Amino acid sequence: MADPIHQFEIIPLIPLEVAGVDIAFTNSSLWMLIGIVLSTLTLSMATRRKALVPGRLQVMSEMLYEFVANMIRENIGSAGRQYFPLIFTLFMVVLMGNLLGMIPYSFTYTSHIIVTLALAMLIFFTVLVIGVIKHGLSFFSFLVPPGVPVWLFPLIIPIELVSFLARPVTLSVRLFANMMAGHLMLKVFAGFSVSMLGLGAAGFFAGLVPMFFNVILIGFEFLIALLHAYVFTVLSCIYLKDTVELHH
Amino acid sequence: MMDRLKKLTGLTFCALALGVQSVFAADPHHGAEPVEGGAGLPQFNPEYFPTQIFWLTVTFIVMYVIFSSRILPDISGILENRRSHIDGDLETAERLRSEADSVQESYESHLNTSRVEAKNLVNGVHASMKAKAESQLQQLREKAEKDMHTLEVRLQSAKNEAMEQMGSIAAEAASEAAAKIMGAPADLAQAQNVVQLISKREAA
Repeated sequence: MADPIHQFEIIPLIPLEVAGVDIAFTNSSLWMLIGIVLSTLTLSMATRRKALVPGRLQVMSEMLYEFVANMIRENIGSAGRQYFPLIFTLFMVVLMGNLLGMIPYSFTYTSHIIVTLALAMLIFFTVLVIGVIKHGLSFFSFLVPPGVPVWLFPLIIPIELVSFLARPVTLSVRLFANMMAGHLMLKVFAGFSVSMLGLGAAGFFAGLVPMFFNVILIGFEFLIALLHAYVFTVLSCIYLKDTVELHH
Repeated sequence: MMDRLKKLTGLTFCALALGVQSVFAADPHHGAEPVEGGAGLPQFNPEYFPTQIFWLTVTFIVMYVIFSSRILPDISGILENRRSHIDGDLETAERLRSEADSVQESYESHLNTSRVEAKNLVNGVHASMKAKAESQLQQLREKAEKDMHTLEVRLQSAKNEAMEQMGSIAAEAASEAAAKIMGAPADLAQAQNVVQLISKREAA
């Protein structure tokens, strides 16, 4: 049976080393590049005609735009407009990683904890830096929810601090774990079918059972891919809201 | 025949699907040698952390630049353009509607004033005609009364004349009758006096 872990392995394609740091162009980088090319080409092709009455592709890109715009409006408010390119890029990077991962033989870069952690850290530090710049030290008043009596401070502040520091961890682990688990499951079920094929005619029919499971799971994985791109982006919006207004 | 065909296509589908399945399971690198480091998941192998972070950063920056400089302004321009277009159309429609309303209003007020005018005109004509008819009727009545009066006067004078003549005729007849009866000529003047006396008594 094929190793279900193998799909997550990184294979350097073009060795590259700068200042002693290995930054080889790998299969992961290749799929990031494919993600860039696919998303930017599709969107710029879609908006090239600037039609008043849009075609299919243009409708799709407009819907994507409105979707992210609504997400920001609902979660951050009108002041969230400044984050629009950031949120949009974040959404597209995660979405491309999740969806391109559904292509057989491809590589799912969002199934790597370091990638999702880097994205989560980007949001974490954006919140921290912009929050401190905008509100100064009073930014840290988010550690004390409004209406809490003073004698609860020693209890509340550590809890809020831990939950604040846990944000990038939960954010990144959620995406990473979902993507990895889904892809593992697909591969394991596929592996069942293939190993049963080796048992002859009886194995052929027995192998149909995990195959049908896999058909359902693939549909489910597409849902997961879209859903977790959305969840990652929505949570980022909610975290970024702290920079706009204190005391939610 | 049909059944067999169906079975055959079903089996072919399953075989094809299984083929796809083997694609999922395929392992291009043969063999399941343990991943180096023995950590199990390649995700936790720190060897590739720098390259992953580097290329993710590159990807993110490139996408951010392209999106924020070209694609997002394009899309928002399209949406803005469409919104302003629709707003303009709505505004035009609103303006045209209010214009139509004012035209309708002026039409109605015109209609009203002309209706009132027509009514006044008809009333005036009616009144003037009535007045004219009345005055003419009055004139006619006056004229008729005058005519009747003159006629009455004439009638009276004729009657008086006739009466007078009747008196003289009666006197003559009486004097002649007296002459015949008595055989002597009667006094005409005396007869006339008698007749006058009688007619006066009757009149009284």
